[in-house]
Amino acid sequence: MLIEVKNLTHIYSEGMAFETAALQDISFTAKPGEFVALIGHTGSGKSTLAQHLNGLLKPTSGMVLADGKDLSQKGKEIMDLRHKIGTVFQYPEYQLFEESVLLDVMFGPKNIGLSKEECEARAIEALRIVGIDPDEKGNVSPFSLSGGEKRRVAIAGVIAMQPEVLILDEPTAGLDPQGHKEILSMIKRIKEEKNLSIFLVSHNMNDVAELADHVLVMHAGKLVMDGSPREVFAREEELKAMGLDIPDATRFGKKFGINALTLEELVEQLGN
Amino acid sequence: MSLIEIHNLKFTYIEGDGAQQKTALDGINLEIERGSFVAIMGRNGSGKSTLAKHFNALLLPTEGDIIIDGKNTKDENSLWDIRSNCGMVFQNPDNQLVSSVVEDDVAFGPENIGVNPTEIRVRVDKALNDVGMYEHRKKGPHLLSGGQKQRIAIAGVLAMQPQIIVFDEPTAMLDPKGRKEILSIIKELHDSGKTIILITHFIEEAIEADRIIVMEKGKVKQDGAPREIILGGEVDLTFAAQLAQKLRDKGMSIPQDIFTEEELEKHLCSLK
Repeated sequence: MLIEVKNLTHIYSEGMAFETAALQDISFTAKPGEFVALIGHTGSGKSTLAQHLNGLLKPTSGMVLADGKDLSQKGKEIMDLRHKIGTVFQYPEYQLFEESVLLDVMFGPKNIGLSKEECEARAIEALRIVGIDPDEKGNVSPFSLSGGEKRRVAIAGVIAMQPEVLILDEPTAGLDPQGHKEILSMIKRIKEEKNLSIFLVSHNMNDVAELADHVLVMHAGKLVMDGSPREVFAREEELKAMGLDIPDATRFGKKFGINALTLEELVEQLGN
Repeated sequence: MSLIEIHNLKFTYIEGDGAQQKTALDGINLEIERGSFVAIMGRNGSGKSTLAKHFNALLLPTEGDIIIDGKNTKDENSLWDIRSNCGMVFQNPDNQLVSSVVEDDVAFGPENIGVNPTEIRVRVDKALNDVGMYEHRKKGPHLLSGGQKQRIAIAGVLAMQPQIIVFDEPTAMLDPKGRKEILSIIKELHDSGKTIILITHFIEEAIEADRIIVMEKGKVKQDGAPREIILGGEVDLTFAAQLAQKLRDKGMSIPQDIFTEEELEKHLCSLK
């Protein structure tokens, strides 16, 4: 799905004393199947932007187009389009509520009126993709799972909707290193098998360097950089001034005049 | 006698209708010396936070004892002494601030134990200066960043003049800039003589400590100097150690005891 954001501005509490421009004149295009990373300091507008991408928030001015259709409009066509854009919020495991893992993942598909068989088939498929064995864990309570597993079940609930665009808002926050790795390999698997567009909001520049094809940098409500990871992370001084890091490999490589994004690239070049 | 002594500590949670019991801590024995900096690591659910809550009697042992500066946490008469002597900083800064003005928030603890107002003024000013937030003293906490809020939470603990400060994943919800701010404050507090206990998933934070304790399933799995623990393979490698490992795999000669980027950089330069 093609996502086009055109001159998007969002003002919270417009006309009130606390009026804040959370997004100012943002424009970019994300091609179908692209992996886009959204980075920026806390409060830079990343999450507000993410909430516009599936029409949860409406622009004060400007628009968000999905396959050429304006998401702020009403009607069945737009509703169907919005169902194809799945959002995983921060700490999505707080949204689990059903008595079993399988029922929880089936909840979304059930809500759009699919048959029980179809819902179940989708849920089983979604659980497999996130790395949860449906035979072993399908019937247990989601609350008995570990933190990382709960989060993957919550993500399976979004995958079961068969989105064409997946928005992940800091999917690894608060997980231990093992849970972090599991989420990363899950994201790679989703990308490979489903070939959907992914928007990843993250503070972890190593993850961004490894996963993204396209990086958007937000600062104080504005889009300040838009390019490939290599282009963006070459601008270390500007990123630092915004309180952002560059990937470990890039930072360390610089000391030896090496331009690397990932540990593998750095090893390759240092070895020579 | 050590500042903190833990003897055969066991803790059992009652789950659901009371029929199920879950052992969170299963026979912990530890001694922590005055002025030391101890990092506690381990997977989610290994018992780290349950242990942390025993240091200032938020939880009491099901079995065994924990003695803080000669006082047993089970002794109700010592409760307030122990809580003043051992401060805690938690993960989510939003859950720890109670006032609508920064300096009132920092004064909350000393006011509660009846410190006289002149002394409170002195303590609050010093605590805010120690965390670099004095100029923000008249602001509302909601106007601050996550890292700044966490610094206010630390100031609130400092105003109680504790000997021991327990940090339970204080940087988990912060962005990279906030994370660095908090880590440098923790190091300063340690240098000023406080005893620090830091629960963290980040090896780059833990390596700053003089001792790492690794927990697994409610037990102490490993206990030693950071370098020993990293070599033991129980925790993730630092970025520099990972890189050194991969370069060794490529046939470069790099000593086993390289853990920090400074060490690796120095060694690589010597090879040139």
